[in-house]
Amino acid sequence: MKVPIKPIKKVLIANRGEIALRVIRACHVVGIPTVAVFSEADRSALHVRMADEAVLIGPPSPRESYLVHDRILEAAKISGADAIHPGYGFLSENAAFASRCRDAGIVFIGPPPEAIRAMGDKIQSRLRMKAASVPVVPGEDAVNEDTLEEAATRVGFPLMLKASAGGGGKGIRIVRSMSEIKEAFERARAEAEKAFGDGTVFLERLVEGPHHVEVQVFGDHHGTIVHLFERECSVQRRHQKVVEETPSPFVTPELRKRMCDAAVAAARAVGYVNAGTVEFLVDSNRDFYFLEMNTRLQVEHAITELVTGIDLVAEQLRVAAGHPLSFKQADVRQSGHAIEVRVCAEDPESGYLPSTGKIQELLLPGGPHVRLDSALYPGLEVTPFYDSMLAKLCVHSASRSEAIAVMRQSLAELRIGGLRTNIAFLARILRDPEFGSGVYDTGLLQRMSPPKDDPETDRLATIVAAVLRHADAETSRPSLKQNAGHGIDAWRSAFRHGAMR
Amino acid sequence: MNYFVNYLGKDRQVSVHTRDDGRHQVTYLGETLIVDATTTGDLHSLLVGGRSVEAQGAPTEGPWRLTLRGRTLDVVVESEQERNARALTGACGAPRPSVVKASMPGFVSKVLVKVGDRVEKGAPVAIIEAMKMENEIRAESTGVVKEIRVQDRQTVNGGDVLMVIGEG
Repeated sequence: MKVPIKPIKKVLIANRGEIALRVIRACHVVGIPTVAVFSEADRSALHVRMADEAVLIGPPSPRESYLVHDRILEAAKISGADAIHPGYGFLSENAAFASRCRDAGIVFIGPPPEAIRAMGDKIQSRLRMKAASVPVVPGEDAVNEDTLEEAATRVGFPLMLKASAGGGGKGIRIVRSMSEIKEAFERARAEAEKAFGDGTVFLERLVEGPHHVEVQVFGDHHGTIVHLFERECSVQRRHQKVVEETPSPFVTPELRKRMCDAAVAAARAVGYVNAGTVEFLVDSNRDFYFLEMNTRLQVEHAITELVTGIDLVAEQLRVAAGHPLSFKQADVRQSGHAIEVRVCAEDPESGYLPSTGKIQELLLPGGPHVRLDSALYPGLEVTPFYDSMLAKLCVHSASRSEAIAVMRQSLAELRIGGLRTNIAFLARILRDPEFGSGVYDTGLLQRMSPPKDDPETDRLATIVAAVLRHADAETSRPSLKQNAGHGIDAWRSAFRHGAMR
Repeated sequence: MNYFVNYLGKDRQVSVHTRDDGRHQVTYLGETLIVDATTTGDLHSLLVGGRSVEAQGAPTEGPWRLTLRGRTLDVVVESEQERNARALTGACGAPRPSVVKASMPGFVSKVLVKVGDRVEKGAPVAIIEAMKMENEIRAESTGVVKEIRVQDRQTVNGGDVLMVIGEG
């Protein structure tokens, strides 16, 4: 298929947070003006301030703003944007929205709607993968009450019931014996019906202790599809990725070659264009199975950029304009080792409850080999309306052990005041011996032991707790001495300064 | 001033005196050292006998969260007077009912208990939807639900009282 090259004149970013900044930066670097869209909760957000133009699209709830096709298309029309970048989440894997962009003559910076649709339906995508000789988890397509038990016997236990229209862990049931299957089927079907409006359920053998490894692929409009190697994403909590790294320390060169070839075949089978990710499960025998394809730019794309040196968002813009890929498969090399951690406004000590509030102070890590993608600033109000991810912290070093050391240091430097975050929890993962060994599966976080007692931390914690409480009580109940207010502070600092000399 | 620092079920005694220069003289386990603290919001930099320690937390009466050196601790710091006063009221007064608060702003997607229900400490009593996630709110004490102040689908702010739990 020959696509004429049509330069993009203005890009609307249908997203918020760090990914909106990522896209705005890439556009401005190549001289393309940008349009931000924002909800009433995001007037002060950095994506609004960094873009060339910004359009208000509705109330804070995403259902009334960032997810409303009409509002976003109207914003594109008003601002004269001829392309829309959906980022990740929100409308990024919405085939209907991609179609409407096409109908409106707007370039959707992502795959064609047909590819999104083909990969969105789990049963359909399984069939297409099988036809393309991509290994899938042994299983049975669409089952009903009558075929259920027979199909389960063929698949074997333990198995998983999954919603065909599924995603995000909804509509999934693990079944360990025939006696549980009827009830599990009814519940999976009801959940799928409720969540996706489609109660179609299929069976898959449960891969126990799986590694979650994904391959970055990229296609252009000229029929070229390449891969940019894998990412290891097995550090997960309830199907949510927490830490990612590349190269995968578990994948051998021979397995890497087979997985990357399979990923390219998978993308080719659905006529894939632009950036995408093929997710695989790898069992302890290093057999791998197609899990699903994410038809968008991934959160964790940055670590692939670090080891390959390729700017994926810049490439997305180029490919969307009809240009062929700017590199060939043979040009793509993995150099060094990169790790990403997802810093979230959540409290691991209280069941990972999300935390909201105003960011009072922000101390960011720096130095060589460190990359931080965030939309944070002191004064930012973190609201309950959107995802709890605050920042992506990535490091890139010559070796895995060096990368781990740099990440530990960066996490020690990163401080976000005013909210509870998972920073200390991430630091624990980076110190965990199983993570350090490089051989870990998706059960890692469940197995991770609680932090060890350490007498020195205990001593310092006791002293610090008493001093902070004492100092707080002093300032909130001012004694005579402190009535001088600002004056005494200045005097105190002067004294401290004097004491230092 | 003498303080009791309690975390992980253990009491520790510390004395803190603020000197004229604003620094604190601290005695703990028979050792006396000078501690200098500067604070921005809930982030603190402390020099503990010359050792640089970064800490996060908002000290208050009752339990608060302290993070330092990668450890997160729920601490209670009481002055000697506070502890004595508490011992007095505790001895004469009836146990106070405890409240369940919304730990974050969001939408109450479901109240899981009704007035008169007996709940165990740690049992889920309501679900609040925030940041695309459903979050279980748990009872902080064992008792009987005396009063419920919210309804399903209601919007709440962090700190709002959801229900009151009292003695059976």
